[in-house]
Amino acid sequence: MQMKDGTGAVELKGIHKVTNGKLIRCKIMVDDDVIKNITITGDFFVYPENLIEKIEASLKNISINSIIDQLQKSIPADALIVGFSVDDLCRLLTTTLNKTPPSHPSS
Amino acid sequence: MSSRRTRLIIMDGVDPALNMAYDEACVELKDSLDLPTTLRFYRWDPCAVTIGYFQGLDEEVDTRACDERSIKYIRRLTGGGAVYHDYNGEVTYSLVISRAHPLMSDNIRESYRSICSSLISGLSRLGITSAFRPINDIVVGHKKISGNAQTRRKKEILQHGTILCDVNPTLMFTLLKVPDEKLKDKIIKKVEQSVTSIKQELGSVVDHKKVIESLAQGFAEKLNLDLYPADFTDEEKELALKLIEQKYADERWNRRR
Repeated sequence: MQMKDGTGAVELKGIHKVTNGKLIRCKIMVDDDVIKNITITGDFFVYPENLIEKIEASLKNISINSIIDQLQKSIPADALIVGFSVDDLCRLLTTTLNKTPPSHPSS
Repeated sequence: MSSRRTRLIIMDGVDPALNMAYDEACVELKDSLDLPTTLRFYRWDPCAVTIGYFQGLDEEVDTRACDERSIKYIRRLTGGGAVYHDYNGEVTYSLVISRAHPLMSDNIRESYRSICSSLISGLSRLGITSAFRPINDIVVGHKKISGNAQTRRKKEILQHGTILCDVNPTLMFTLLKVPDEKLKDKIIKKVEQSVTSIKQELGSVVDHKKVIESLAQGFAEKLNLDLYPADFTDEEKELALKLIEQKYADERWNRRR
């Protein structure tokens, strides 16, 4: 699902229920192929708990083409994620971003 | 103090924000005040919905439906899913225990299993055979009767969870949103088939005091705890009141995602 704000940025939403896992959602604000904001929510567990906010911060103001690479770099080796895998999250973000409409010349 | 000595705090209907604040105050202060392991049982008055730390409030909760029924909604300190806490429908427990306790583990998944074994033992004392279903559930057959959530602070573990005494799926899904509204009736039916309660399993309501007594015995047995009746310290109560003001009664916390 996508919504536009007044500036022309598009909000994309995605949701994925992991088999034998938890539900993950994302909301990504994209403007001109740059991620302006991203929120990852769901009924999962992450330790340490501030990791999700750190991941979100690291994905802001980057190109949508870099998101997977940056996501993978932002997860430390000793983090514990319970309810989804990094691959699940990558798949969700990719699927959500593939909903981006083709860019149009500004009027 | 012996590491087995454990405060047993039993509260009846408690304000939802205060419930969450007590749990956080206890885990924050346990190490610095050298407090013993603490096991608390409590209920919710008014009834409330809590959401997991990582959930979006408006994604999960119909806040207007809650407001119409004077049901509060609060973000927990712990992850996991949205839960409707009905005063008559459940008993909630919280355990604050050292990571160094002989029966705890640095492996979070194993510590969930270990703590949940106490609830399984408690339910068996009521005549209910249940099992642990990873990550954080207790089931009777394939039906869920308890959900649990854990966080860690420095050297301490806080795990809290609910044991369903009675379930009303229709009310639950008036308050909790479903990913697809068109599937609501189907989901309610699915919940009736995948969630159970003490009343459903035994065919009658069991007094909450009896439920708490059985669960407490389960904890004592499985975690080798020496329970004694107690209350929170003045420091914990003072911190709890601050946490309500700074967090649990504050929209900036409850609506942060």
